[in-house]
Amino acid sequence: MILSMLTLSGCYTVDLQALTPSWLIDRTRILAVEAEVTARPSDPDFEDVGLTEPRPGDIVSFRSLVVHPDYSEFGVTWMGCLPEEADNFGCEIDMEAIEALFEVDPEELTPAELLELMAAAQEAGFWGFEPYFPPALTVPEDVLDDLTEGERQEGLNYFITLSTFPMFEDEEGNLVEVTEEDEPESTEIAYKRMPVSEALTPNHSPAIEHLAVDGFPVEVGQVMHVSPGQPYDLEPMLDETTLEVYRYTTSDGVEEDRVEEPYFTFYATGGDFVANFALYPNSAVQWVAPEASEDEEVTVWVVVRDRRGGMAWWTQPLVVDAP
Amino acid sequence: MISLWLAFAPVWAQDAPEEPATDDEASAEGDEELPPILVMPTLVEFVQAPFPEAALEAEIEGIVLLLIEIDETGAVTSVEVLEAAGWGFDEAAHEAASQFVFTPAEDETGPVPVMIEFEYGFVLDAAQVEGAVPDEEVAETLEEAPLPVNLEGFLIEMGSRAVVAGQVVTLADSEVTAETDAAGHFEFRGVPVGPLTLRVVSADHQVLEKSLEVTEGEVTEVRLWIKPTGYEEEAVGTYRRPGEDITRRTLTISEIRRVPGTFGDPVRVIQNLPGAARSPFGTGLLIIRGSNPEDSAVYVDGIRIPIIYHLGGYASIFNSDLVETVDYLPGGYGVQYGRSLGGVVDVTTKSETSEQTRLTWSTDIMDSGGMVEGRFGKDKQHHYAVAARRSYIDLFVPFFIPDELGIVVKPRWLDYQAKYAYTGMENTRFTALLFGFEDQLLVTTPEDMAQGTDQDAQGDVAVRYSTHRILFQVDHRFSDKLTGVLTPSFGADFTHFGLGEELKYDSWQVLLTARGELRWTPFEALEVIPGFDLIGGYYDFKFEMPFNPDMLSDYDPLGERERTVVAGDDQAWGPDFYLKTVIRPFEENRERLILTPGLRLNATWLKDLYAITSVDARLAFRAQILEHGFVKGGTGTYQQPPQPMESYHPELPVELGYERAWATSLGWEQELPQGFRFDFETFYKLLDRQIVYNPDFEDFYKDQYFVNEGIGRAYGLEVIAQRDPIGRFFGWISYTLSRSVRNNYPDDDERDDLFPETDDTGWYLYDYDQTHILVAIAGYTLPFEVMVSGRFRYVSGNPTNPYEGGVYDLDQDFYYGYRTDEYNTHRLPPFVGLDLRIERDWQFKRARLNTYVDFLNVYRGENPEFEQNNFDYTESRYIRGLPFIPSPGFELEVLL
Repeated sequence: MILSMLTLSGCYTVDLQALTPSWLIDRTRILAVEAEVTARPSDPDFEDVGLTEPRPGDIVSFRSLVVHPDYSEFGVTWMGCLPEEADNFGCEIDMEAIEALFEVDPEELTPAELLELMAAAQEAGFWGFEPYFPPALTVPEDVLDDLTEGERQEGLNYFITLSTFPMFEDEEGNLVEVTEEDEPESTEIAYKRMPVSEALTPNHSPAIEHLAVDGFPVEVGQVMHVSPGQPYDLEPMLDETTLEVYRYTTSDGVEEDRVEEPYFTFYATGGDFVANFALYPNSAVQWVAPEASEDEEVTVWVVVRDRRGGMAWWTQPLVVDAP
Repeated sequence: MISLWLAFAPVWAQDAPEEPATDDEASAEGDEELPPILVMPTLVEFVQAPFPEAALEAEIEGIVLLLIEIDETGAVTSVEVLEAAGWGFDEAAHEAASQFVFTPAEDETGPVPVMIEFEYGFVLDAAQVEGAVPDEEVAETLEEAPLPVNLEGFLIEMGSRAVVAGQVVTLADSEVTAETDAAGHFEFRGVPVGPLTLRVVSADHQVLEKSLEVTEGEVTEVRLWIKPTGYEEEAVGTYRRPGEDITRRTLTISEIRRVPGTFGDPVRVIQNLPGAARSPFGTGLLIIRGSNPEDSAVYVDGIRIPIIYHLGGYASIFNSDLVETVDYLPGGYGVQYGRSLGGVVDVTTKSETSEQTRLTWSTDIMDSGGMVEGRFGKDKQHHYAVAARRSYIDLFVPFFIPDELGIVVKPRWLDYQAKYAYTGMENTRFTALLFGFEDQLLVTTPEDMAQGTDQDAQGDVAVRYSTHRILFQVDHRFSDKLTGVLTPSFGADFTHFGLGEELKYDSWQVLLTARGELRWTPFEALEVIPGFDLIGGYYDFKFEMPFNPDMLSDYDPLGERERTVVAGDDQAWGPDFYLKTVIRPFEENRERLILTPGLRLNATWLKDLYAITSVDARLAFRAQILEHGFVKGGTGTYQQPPQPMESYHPELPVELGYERAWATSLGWEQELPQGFRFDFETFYKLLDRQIVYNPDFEDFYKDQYFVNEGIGRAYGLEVIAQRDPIGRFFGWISYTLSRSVRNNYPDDDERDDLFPETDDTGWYLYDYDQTHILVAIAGYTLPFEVMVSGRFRYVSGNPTNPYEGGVYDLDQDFYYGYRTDEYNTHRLPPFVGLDLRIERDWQFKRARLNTYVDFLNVYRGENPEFEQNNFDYTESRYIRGLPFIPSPGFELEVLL
């Protein structure tokens, strides 16, 4: 910080070459991942929308927000493991089980054989490969067995690794991978933790109700028209019913109620942000539309995190109208 | 016209010894064995030496110190050049002095042979510089000069040895005056016989009073040495004080201020001397002979202080006008210094203040400060000086920050000093020094603007630290053979760091520091110096965090935040004792060999945490091999207790001991004519028991954080070629070739899990390892008192290992960079820079104004300080050092 201030004060200088800001989407980026418990085999009546912290035995599905300024299709590999099987940057995977899945022709297998292969691959840490194998996990029933009751409420974190690359349709309609040789920095690797617990107040993902542009709410999918070079206040409106109160036990054994403290991160394919993050409830940031001599499409994304592992996002298409 | 001036000192010895005697020895011998000289020899036939043509063309002046042997008839029997000046001066002076004729010296037995020191000066007259008048005219002028003068002499400035022309010399208690001519010569006619006092009052010199006696029928000759304002007794420029420490480079103020790029701060000049690495961003970190910055120690009048530079390293914490000398000891220092593995910087404040009340004020683009000094009391035995300074960079920094950011940045520093000295006691001197400083950096952000996405780090950034000390010093002379110094000091330090409301660190400590030293000289060949060095006190700290520190050992960003306070208070004491001896075994020349063995007992005790002791043994020597050539060297151990941040554990005793270095050095020092010096030194330092992170650390409350497992070594050579600031030119070239490496875990084979990641040997380059450090500094005085000076620097870039990409942590919205190469296997490009300075002195009757402009980075290379990456580590660029900055300033001195 001191250095930054001295730089600001003109005491120190940097090369003229500007570094790409983190909010500018000019390459493949994984912006967010959402996990959701979709079924609880032990409870046929299970219905808990947005639950993102599973219990042992739950079935969890995943989705991701992967973006690129020029591509809309992506291949995403999902790997996962418990902490003891992970190092700092990902899972140590038994690749043989995964290779077995890819070496066979699915059309030559019966559904049961295919499920068996997929189960073995999942056991090895392979959770999915979009767009062909949607990522999913059945949390083992015994995953928390070695823990005390208090520890089971605190739970464990699964470690999830994603790697992605853009894809495009060739002339025959097949999806083809864009490699690093075709386009540098076209791949991206990210990781995330997913808590599994028997918490009394398990986490649910936050939700963005809508985005307000200069105070006017925008509906899902609605394209906004903006003027080049003009500043706009972008304010994501949080669904406050998803702002959770949860129980927490301190290391001294004191139980207390806490309220989530979500924050928003903004991204765009053009324009400019003074700051690209905001803390709820001061959720607005200012975005300046890019100068454009002809109509230009820009996309803005807003990602919200609840700091407990829950994430959600909003995608806002914009058109910068030429003057 | 060429003006020659001459003078001889009353330094004499009957029955001239074979070897030249020093003043003290000669006096001593005379007192004990020979009757006193009753009549001094008087020069009755002066022979003028021709001004050497080469020197004349180059407009070089010179002084040759001669040792002249005079027999009982007054004839010169031999002449020896004691201090050469080169340029043909020595030969000319020698030949001329050989033809001198004196009246014989006499003692109670009658005429006796004596030896005298005689300075033969060659001074250019302004007219001669323009090239007009032949030498013959000088002789004629001298011959024609009126003779009925009974008091005459020369006025010479100490340090520069320049004659002082146009200065009024007054016979005290009368209105009789004389004015010095271009050669600094003055004369009085018909002065009453008997005792009298000469007085010189000058705007740019200290007041001079000289008592003497005028004898009937004789011409009394006197040489008046006048101290310029701010003159330091020891020396001018950088030099190595012969004797106890292998390498002690002493900096004094008057000339060092001319070094560009140092903002006139003598302490910053250290960074231009051999062994000192270039600090990043000019922060002034003391990185000496491959040691960590925290391994070097800073002292003020013998008392250790935590830092020497203000925020950002622009200025030292002491007003330059109050500093008398700055000693820089890169290694091989004696046992009086301890608790450090690196170098030592010892700042000595002025021992005496100006006799007249003197006000100084200096202003540059960073700060302004002033000092007033003087004396009071019946015999002006009470000396005082008060100084203060404040920066105002906080006033203009906001102009460089866009308003829309709403950020307010306030870097600020201030310091103060007050000194009192009493010199009214015959054998005792008492001084008191109060000083302190406060630095702070405040970055205030709008309430709705985050420092980042971390909720707990929202709010302002604040860094603030301050130090205050008062020290007393009693210097007592018990006898001719025993002296002692006692320096107790009391003080307090305060530190605050805050990031938002949740992350804060506050600490304070009250300190008692004391140093005592006796210096006993049982006989000439031996000095015994026992001493103690105590530091200790009470400290208190509180660290508030928005997380439980145990998370650090099992890091989980989704773990619930838990506000945690780690606090402690304790006592710490370090009573060290040392015994140093200085042996000068050769009677005929005490400088021929100096041996300095010493022992130091170190002890450090932190209540409930640890109690450790160690012993250091050191030996240094210095031997005169040639007439002006010395070999010097030393070896010894240096040990340092754990740093404060390493000396804490909430649950367990700290299992740490002293870090240790075994340092050895060997060098050659050669004095050359014309004030040139050459100094060469090699060093090798072995490090062991270095404190590194505990590789087995897992639990914040159950495991030790650090262990004494690291080893290292630093080695290299240092060269400095220097021209003393005599005449119009000064400068030096300093070069250091070195290598510094570390191995944190020499006994651990599982290197994949260790930081830093290295090859199988475990060795890696130290973070500030700079293979080549070249500094060239030169200054020249042009006509009209305009001085130009420059500094050129070439320094190897610091080691680094670049990132190769990043992996995104979705939970923290943060990329972790990864590297595939081992630690510090790459280097940043070298630093290349040129600074210039132009200044001019303006002399007034009672004031002096120095105006200057420092042109920083007139030329600079790529000069990256470090590599900055973009968010995902796929792009990088260099953060560079200072751009071109013209930095004007002035210094004003007024005699009130």
